[in-house]
Amino acid sequence: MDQDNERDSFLKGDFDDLCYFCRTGDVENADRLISTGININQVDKFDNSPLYLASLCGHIEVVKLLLGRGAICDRDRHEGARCIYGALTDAIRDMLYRYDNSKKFDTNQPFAAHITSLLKDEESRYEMGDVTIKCKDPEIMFIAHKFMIFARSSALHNSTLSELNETFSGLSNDVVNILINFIYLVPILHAIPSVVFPDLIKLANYLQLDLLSEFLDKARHMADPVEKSNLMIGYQYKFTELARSQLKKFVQDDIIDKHIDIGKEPWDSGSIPDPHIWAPFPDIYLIVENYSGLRRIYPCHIAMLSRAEFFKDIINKKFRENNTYMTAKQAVRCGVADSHMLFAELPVCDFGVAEAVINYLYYDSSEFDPKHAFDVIKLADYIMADRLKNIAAAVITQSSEDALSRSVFDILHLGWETGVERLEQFSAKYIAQHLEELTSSKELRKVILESSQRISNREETDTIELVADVRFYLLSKYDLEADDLSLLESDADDLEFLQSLGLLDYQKDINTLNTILNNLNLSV
Amino acid sequence: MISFKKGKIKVPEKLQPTSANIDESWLILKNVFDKVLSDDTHDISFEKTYRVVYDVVRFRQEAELYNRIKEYLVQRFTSLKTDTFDKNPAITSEEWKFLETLGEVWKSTNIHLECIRDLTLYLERTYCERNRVPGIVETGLEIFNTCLLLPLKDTVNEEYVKGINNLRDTHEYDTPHTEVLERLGSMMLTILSGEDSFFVVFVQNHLLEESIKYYSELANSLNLKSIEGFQKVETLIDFETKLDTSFLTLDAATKVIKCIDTVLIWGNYESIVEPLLLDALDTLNGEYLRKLYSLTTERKYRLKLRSAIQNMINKNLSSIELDESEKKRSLIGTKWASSVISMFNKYNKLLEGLSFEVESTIDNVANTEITENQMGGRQLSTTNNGPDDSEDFSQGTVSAAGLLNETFSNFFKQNSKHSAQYMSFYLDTCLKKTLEKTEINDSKNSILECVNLVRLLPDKDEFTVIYKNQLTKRLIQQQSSLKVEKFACKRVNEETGSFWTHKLGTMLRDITRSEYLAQNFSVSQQQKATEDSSTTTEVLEFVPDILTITSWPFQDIDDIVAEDLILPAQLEALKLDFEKFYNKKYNERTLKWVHTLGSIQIGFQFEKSYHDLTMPFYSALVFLLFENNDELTTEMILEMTHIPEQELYRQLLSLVMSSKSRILKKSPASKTISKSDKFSINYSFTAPTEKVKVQTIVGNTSSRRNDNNNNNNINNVLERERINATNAAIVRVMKRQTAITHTELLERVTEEVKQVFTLQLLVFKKSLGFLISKEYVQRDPDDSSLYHYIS
Repeated sequence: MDQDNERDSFLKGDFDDLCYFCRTGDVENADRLISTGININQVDKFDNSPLYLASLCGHIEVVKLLLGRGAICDRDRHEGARCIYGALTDAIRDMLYRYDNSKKFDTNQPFAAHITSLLKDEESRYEMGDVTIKCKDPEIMFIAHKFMIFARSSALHNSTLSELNETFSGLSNDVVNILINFIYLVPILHAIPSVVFPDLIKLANYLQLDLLSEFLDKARHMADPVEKSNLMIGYQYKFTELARSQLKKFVQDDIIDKHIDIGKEPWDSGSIPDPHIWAPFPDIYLIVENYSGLRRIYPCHIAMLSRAEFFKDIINKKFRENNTYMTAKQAVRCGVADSHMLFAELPVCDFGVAEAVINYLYYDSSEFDPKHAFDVIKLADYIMADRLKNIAAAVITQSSEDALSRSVFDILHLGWETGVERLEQFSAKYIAQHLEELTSSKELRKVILESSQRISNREETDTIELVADVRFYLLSKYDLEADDLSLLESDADDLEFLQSLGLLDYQKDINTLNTILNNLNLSV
Repeated sequence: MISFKKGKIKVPEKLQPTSANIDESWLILKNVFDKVLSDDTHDISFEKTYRVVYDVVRFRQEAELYNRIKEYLVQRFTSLKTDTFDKNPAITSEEWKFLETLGEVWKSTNIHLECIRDLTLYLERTYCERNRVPGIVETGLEIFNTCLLLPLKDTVNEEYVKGINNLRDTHEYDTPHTEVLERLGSMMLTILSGEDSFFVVFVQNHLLEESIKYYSELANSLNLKSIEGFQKVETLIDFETKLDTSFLTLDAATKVIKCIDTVLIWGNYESIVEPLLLDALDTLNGEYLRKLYSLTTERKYRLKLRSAIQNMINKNLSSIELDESEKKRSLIGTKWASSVISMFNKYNKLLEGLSFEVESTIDNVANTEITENQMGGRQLSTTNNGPDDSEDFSQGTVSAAGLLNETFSNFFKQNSKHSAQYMSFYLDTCLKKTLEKTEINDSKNSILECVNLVRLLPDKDEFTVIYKNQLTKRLIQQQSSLKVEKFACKRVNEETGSFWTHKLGTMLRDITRSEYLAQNFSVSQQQKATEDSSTTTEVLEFVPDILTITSWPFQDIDDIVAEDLILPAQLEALKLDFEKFYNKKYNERTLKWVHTLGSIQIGFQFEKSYHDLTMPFYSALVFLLFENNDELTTEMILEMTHIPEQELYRQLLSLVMSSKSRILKKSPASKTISKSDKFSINYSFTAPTEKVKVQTIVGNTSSRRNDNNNNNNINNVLERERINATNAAIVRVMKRQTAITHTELLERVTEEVKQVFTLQLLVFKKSLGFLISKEYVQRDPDDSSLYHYIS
C-alpha cells in the first residue's frame, strides 16, 4: 500500500508539473510528462484541467499536443464549455471545437459534438441536409436539416417550409448564421457582433427561443469580460441541455408516436405519408418486428442514426441503399416528388428495445426499461454502437441480485456473443462469489466446457479463460493476494491462522472448482 | 446524461436457428460476391447482406463462412489468372500491355476486396477481430499473391524493368505509363512475401541489376570524358531522379540513383571525373566544381574528390619554381612567395563560391564562419585545426577552406627550408614600398594576404625571427611607413601569438619614442644656438634612434659599440649634448652609441655637380677627414678615427671601388688596400641624381661568410627562443601533473608548441637538461624515464 501511495504522490507531483508546463507553454516538458502515461484528463486542486490551463494561457502548441494525446474537451460537460470560452485566442478556440468535430462520425462522439458536426462537416451536411435557408444576401444559402430546425424551435415546429423562408429572407447573413449555429450548438456566443444584437433578439423572441433571448439580454449590458465569459459558459451548457430535452420531445412526439403499424401482412409503402411534408421529415424508416411477429415502422434520420456504425455504413458504402438515399435526398432538396424510400429492418426485438436505441441515438438517453437490457445490447451489437453496449451492460450488472441469480449464465453467453468483456468479468466474479451454491449446477459445467472450447480460437492462452477469471475473483472474494497462497504451504499446520486469513475457505472453493474440472476431464 | 434505473432485467427467450443453414446463406452471399467481382454492385443491398452475415455469425457458423470466403477467393483469383494471362500469351508481346493489364487487375482487386469486406463487416468485426484472424482484405491480398502474382513473378519482373527502360529510352516521366508503374509499385509494396514486401523480395535487386546494365550500355555510347558528356550525365541523372521518385519508394529510388551514379560517374572515376575536375580547376569553373560535388553523395567519393582537388593544387604549387636567374635571394624569395600567395587567392576565390555540402550541422556552422571570416585568420584556425582534424573521418568535414588550408600547410611543410624566409622576404618587399603613399593600400592588401598564409607555416617562430631582423633594418634605415609597420605587426601578432612577437611591438615603440625625442632635442639645440650666437656653428640635423637592447635582435651589443672612436669636434659636441639631454630625461638609463647602425648625410660640391651623399657612419667619418686634409694614408686615417682596422679597409674599399659612388681616389690604384695607400677626394665624381647613396660593398669572400653568418645567426636565435618556449611549455605541463614519463612529457610539450613550431628532439633535450640543471625538474632516482616537478 505504501508503495502505491508513493507512486500516486509521485504521479501527483508529475501532474502538478504538467499543469505548470501547460501554464508556461513548455511544450517539450509537457510532452515528456505526457509520454510517461500520466492521465491528462485529471484536474488540479482548483478544478482546472491541463487543457483548460493551456488554452487559458494561450499556448496553442500545448493545446495541440494535449488534444493529440487524447485530452478531452467534452462540450457536454461544464469543463468543456469552460475550455472553449476560456481560450485566450480565437485560433485556440477554433482548434478546440474543430478537434471536437474532427473525427467524422465518431460513434462515441457525445451529444453536442455530434450535433455540431452535422453543421460543420461540409460533406455530410450536403449529403444529409434537406433544406436550404435563404437570407437577405441572395448569394448565401445555408443547408440544414429540416428535422433539426423543427425539433429545436417550438415556434417553427408548426410552420411550413415556405413560412420558414419568409421569416429568414429579410435577415442579414450574420443573424441567420448565428441562429443556425445556435441551433446546432456551435459555441459562437463570444463571436456575436454587437450590431446584430437587436435583430437577433427580435428573431429569438419571434421564434420563441427564450433561452437565447435571455442570454442576449443579459450579455448586451455586460462589460466585465470575466462575468461575460462565465455567462457564456453557463448558457452554452444550458443550451445543450435544452437541445437534449427538445430532441427528447421530438423523438417522443414525432418519431415514436408517429410509428406506423403494418401488422404481419405484406404492406404497401404507399401507406406512408409524404416525407416532404410529414412532420418528422424522415430519411430512413426503421422496420422492427417483435417476437409476436408484429411489425412497426419508425420514421428516422440518418443524421442522428449515423452515430451508430451500421447506419453510417449503410449510406456510405456504395451499394443499393446509398443509391436510394441519394436519389431521395436529391428529390427532397429540389422539391420534386419521388418514391424512393430507404428502409432498414432490424433484427427481431420488442418495440421498446428499438425505441431505447432510438432514444439513445437522438439524445444520449440511457433510460430504458432494464428488462430490455439484453436485447438492447444485442441490437447495439447489430448496429455497432459500442458505447450503448457498455451502457446497457452497466444496467445489467446493476440489476437486482435476485434477477442475476437466475440469469448469470445468460449474461455470460451474452458477453461472449457480443464481445462485451465487462459482462464476462462480471459473470466470473458472480460465479466466484456464489461458488458454493453453484457446486452442483449443470449450467456451470456447461459454460466451463464451452469456455474451454473457445481456447482453440485464442492463440496465447492455455488456460480456460472463465476458470482463470473465476480463480482471480476467488482471491478477491476472501481479500487475498496471490502472494498469500504461499502461506498455505509454509504455515500448513497453523490452521487457526489460515482460517483467520480466509485461506481455508479459499482452498475449499478452489477444491470445489477443481473437482468440477476433474469431472469434466479438464486439466488446467 | 447517463443514469441507470435499477430494475428487473429480462432474459429474452432463446432463439432456435431458423435460417441457420449455412449453405442457404452461402448461396446468397456467393451470388452477391459474384456481382461484386463483375463490378455490378449498385443492386446489392448492404443491409440485407449484412443481415445474412449477422445471422450466420449468430448461429456460430462464422469460421465456416470465413473459410468459404477464402476458398471462393482462391478459386476466383486462380481463374482470373488463367483467363487474363495464361490464355493470352500474346500479352507480353505488346509493350506495356502486360503491365497495364496487371495494373487494372490490381486496381479492381482492391476495390472488390474492400467491397466484400464491407458486405461482411459483421464477420470482420466479430470473428476476425475477436479471434485475431486476418481481415478479409488482408486474407484476400494474400490469396491474390499466392494464386496470381507469385506464379507470374518472373514475367512481372521482366516486364516491369522493360517498362522502366522504355521510359528511360523515351525520356518521358509524365505519361500514363508512369501511373501504371506507380500502381504496380504500390501493389508490390503492399503485398507481403514473408517479412518484406514483394517488391523488396523479388523485384528490387533485379531492377538494380537491370538499371546498372542499362546505364552501363548507355555510358559506353556516350562520350563522357568531356564537360558536355558530363552535362549529359547530369540530365540523365536528373531525369532518373524524377522518374524514380514518381513511382518508386524513396528508399528504392535512392538505391537506383546511387547505382546509376556509380555506373556513370564514380565507376570510372579516374577516367571521367578526374579529368573533368582538373578541367574545372584549370578553368577556375566554380559552378562546375559545385555540380560535381553535389552529384557526389557518397562519402568515399567525396573524399576522393577532395583529395583530387588537393593533389591538383599541390601539383600547381610544386610547379612554382625558384627563379635562380635573380641574383638576390630576397628577390627569388619574394617572387616565390608572391606566386604562392596569388595561387592561394585564386583557389580561395574558386572554392569560396562553392557551397560544399557537409554532413553534420556543426560543420555547416564552421563552414559559414569560414566564408564570413575570409580575413579573420584566428577563427579560421580555430575551426579547422590543421590537417589532423579534417582527416578525422568520423567528423566528416569536407569544407572548402579547410581543404585549402590543409593543402597549403602541407606545402609549406615540404618547403620548410625556405618557406618562412621567403614569406618574410615578401613582406619586406611590400613594406619597403610603403614610403610611397599611393602604394600603401595595395601593400596593405598584400600584407593581409601574406599574413593569412603565415598561419599555415609549420614554423612560425622562424618566420618571426627573420621578420624581426628585417623589421630592424627597415626601421633603422627608415625604409617603410611606420603606420603600415604597426598594422602589419598587429596582424603578425594575431597569427603567431604574442609570445613571439611582443618584442616587435617594443621595437616599434622605440622608434616612435625616438621621433619624439628627436623633436625635443632639436628644439633644445636651436635654443642653444640662438643663446650662444657668438659661435657660428651651424646646427646639424640629428635623428637619434634609441633602442631597447633586449628587444632588438643584435647579438652582442659590445661587439658593435666602438667606445674609442674619434669623432669630429662638431659631432662629438652633438653627442655630448644629446647625452646630457637624454640623461636629464631618463637619468637611470645608460646610453650606448652604436654608430655602425647609423648613417650620415653630407652635402658636397664636386667639380661638375652638387650631391647629397648618404653614407654609412664610418665612411662618413673617413670622408669628413678630408675637410681639413687633401691627402691621407690608410695609417693616418686609422690613427685619426680609431675605426676598427678590418672595418676601415672595407669602408675604404667601397669608397674607392663602388661603381656608383666612387667619391675617393687612391694611389696606387689597385683592388686591395695597404697601410701606405694614399687617399684623396675624387672631385670628378658625378651622378645622375642629386641624392647619392654611398653603399658599403661586401667583398665576394666576406659576403658568403656573412650570409652564412647571418643564417647561423638566425638559427642560433631561433634555437634560443625555441628552448625558452619549450622551457615554459615543460613547466606548464609539469605544474599540472607533478610526475610524468618522458614520452608523455614529449607528447604534451609537442602539442603545446605545435601552434608555433615543430618540436625537435634536440631542442627538447636541451631544454629539459637546462631545467634539470636549474633544479626545476628532477629525474626519478629509480625510474630514469620519470620526471618530477620541484615547486
